[in-house]
Amino acid sequence: MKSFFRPVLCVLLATLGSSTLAQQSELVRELEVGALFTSGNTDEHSLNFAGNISGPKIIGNTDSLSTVSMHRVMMKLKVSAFMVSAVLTTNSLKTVSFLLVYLMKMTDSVVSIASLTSRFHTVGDFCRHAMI
Amino acid sequence: MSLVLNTGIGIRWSRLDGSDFDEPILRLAGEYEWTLSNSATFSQELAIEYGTDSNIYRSDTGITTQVLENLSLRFSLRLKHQTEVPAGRDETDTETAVTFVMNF
Repeated sequence: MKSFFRPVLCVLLATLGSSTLAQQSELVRELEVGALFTSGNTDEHSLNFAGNISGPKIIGNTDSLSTVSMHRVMMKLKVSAFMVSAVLTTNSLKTVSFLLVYLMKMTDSVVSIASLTSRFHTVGDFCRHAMI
Repeated sequence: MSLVLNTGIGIRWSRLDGSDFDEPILRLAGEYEWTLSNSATFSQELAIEYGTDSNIYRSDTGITTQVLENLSLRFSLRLKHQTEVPAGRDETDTETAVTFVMNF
């Protein structure tokens, strides 16, 4: 780690969805503020913004996982003096997910990742019930 | 307690001055969440991105404690390790955060 840990502002923005959409899909919205300590290539002067909107994690009868449907939308936006990155994830239990990671460094490199992912295993309240 | 596993294929575009390259990747990821108590939750996310030129390993560990009805305290540690990096750059990045989380 770097010799000096400089706390910077870490903010999660979750105002990406409209109130109507939030009501319909029971979206979870968060605002996060605190200190961030970095090492490596991440600039310690960076400001980080991220948003997280999550739909209901479990819908339906948890005793029958085949009937469970999950919709999750997550978007992260990270901004700093040298880096801009965004993560957009959309997951659904029975549908194909799409993951897009975009990292852009203003200085020397740009790295972006696009990945098509499929959620194939979900254990939600099932485990909790099993433990009880 | 919940465990979610993801897998997928994709492509990584890397742009560096004078040496751009693209590579296909295989991504494996897992998200584990453990409810420690009525007010505390532990979470662990691991992701591996296998590429033809480099691999990236990501880890996100966090513990969240609810202090008020819509206010929580979160401690998280995020690691990223890339096997092949441009000259002059570190292979491992870490981010340690202590934050308040407000749900609205």
